[in-house]
Amino acid sequence: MSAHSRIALFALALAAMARPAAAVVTIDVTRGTESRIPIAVVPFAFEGAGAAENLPAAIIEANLARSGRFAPLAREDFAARPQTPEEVRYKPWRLLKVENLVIGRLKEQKDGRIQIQFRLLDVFRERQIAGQKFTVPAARLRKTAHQISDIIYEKLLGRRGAFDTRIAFVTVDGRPRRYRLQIADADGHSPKTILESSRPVLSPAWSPDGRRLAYVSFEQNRSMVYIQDLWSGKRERIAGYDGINGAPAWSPDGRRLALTLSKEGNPEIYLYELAGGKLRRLTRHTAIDTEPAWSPDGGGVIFTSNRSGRPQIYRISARGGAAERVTFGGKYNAGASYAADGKSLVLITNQGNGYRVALYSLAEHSVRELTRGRHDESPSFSPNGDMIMYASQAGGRGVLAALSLDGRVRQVIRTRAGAVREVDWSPYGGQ
Amino acid sequence: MSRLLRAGLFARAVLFTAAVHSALFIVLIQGFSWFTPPKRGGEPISASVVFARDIGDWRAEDLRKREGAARAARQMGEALARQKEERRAAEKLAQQKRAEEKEKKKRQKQLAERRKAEQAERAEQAAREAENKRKVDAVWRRAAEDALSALIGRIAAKVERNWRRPQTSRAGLRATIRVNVARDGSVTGARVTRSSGDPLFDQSAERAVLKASPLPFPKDPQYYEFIDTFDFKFHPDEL
Repeated sequence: MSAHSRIALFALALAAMARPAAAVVTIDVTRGTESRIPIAVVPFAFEGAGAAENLPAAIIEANLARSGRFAPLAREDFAARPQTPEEVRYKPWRLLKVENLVIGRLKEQKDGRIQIQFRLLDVFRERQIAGQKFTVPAARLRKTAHQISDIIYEKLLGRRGAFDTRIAFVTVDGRPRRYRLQIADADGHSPKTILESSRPVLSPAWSPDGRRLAYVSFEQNRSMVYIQDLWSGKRERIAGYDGINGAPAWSPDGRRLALTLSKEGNPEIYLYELAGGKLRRLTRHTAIDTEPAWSPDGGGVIFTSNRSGRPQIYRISARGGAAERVTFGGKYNAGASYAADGKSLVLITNQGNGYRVALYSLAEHSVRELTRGRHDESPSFSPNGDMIMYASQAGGRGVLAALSLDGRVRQVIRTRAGAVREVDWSPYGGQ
Repeated sequence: MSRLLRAGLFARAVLFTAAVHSALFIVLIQGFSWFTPPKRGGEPISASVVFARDIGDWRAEDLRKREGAARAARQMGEALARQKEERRAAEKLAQQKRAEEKEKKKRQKQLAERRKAEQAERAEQAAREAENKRKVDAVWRRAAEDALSALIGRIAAKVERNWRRPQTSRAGLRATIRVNVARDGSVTGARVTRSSGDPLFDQSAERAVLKASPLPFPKDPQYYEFIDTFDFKFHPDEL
């Protein structure tokens, strides 16, 4: 049989199989990876008199990297630095396996404001996915970069980003010690001090509308719970009873605070009605009950209790009744809060290797450690539930750390002064 | 005397001539009436016309007559014999002809039979060849099947390596991407023909195919000349 007829036969057989009815070969694709999205954020060009503002691109790139969902391409690997879609040649980026490209320009306006425009491009489909123009005062450039990061995040992941949010945290430094309650951007920049005291400040908690902060201050030599309005600076004392006044937690509707009070002798969980100031005791047990946190639907409160001998998480209905144990396993599970979907808790666990941030699956009753520290504390979900901020130790000093939910990306956030003690991530809005 | 002699000679000549003519006549008659029944040939020839009645020498005449008759009879016998001979020959010829006819028929029959046999053999041969071809085709088909499934496996693996599934995707999503390829495997076009309803999922699938370009086509594009369109069905099995 000649080579030619062999090919013909083979091709004929292939053709017969390949196209019985439809003229196509069908291939099933069932497995994929969930790796990080390769993206390149090209430095934005700046037209104007001021110092070159490479800032937005740098902020965007850092945000995306910190989220754990993106793998920004190193600048030295950039094939080119296009500023407009016309300048983009997609092929070199494709060879670098970059899926998305962020380009943009900054332009100083006559009134001193800055016009910033960006485009998010799909390298393989050669399409623009998003593009927007903002004109802002120079001081708002950082916030705009966070907003752009959120747009990119949402366009590429289908989830709302949480870059344009804030964190509240407590630092301590100096001799004599200075305690500062601060709020900053979610990346730790632009900190502002809300309260400064020579006495400890504890447990900052954002109101659901993001406009108020509840916290515990020892400024009068004993613990008291305050709510402070961030716009007006006005504050109100909520609890100043004998004994412990601590661990405020806002209900999802913002109408109630769960608190730990020991005014009746033993630390118990109480609910405080903001309108009217009514106080109701929720737990009744001889053990210590503290660190309350609300379920996303507002129907229940979880808290830490040592009623089994060691700290574990328990749950009680917001209407009261019997508490049921939630966490099992490990000698220490404490400081829990719910993920937005209500399916898991983030908490501090100690399985014998130190106090670490962990995810606790409520369905499987399994603990997954996310950090490798020895003294991690105060974990808090980002409002979209995709990241966790917590207080950790670095070089014997308290620092802020951001963690992706899969635990793969952990980044220490530099703060200007002081050792960080506690942190709480803000909800959306309220700015 | 001489007159007499002359007259006698003349008469003999006439008689002889008449006898010869009558003999010839008889032969002629016999000849013309070939297929008439043979008994008619037995009519006496004595009725022939006598030209010289006045001739006295009857003896001679009689003798001549007898001689002539004998001759005629002999001739007639010869003619009859000849006739018989000819009839026999004709019969023989007819027989031969019949035999030949028979032989011809026999030959024709044999020929027909041979043709029939040949036809059957040819049909059998054709069937054998068809069976053979079917077997060969089956071999090629199997080879092509193996080659195609190997090719599909390689292509699917490359696309899967390049498919970054959106983490937010719900379970049970299905999308189909129709892909056109050049003969070297490079993707020349990709479009969503069946949407999952989740734009991010669709995009991830489309991008996976584009990222996997060129698809791992074999070194011999001639074999795959006709394969220029694929339907990639994305349906994660472990979300």
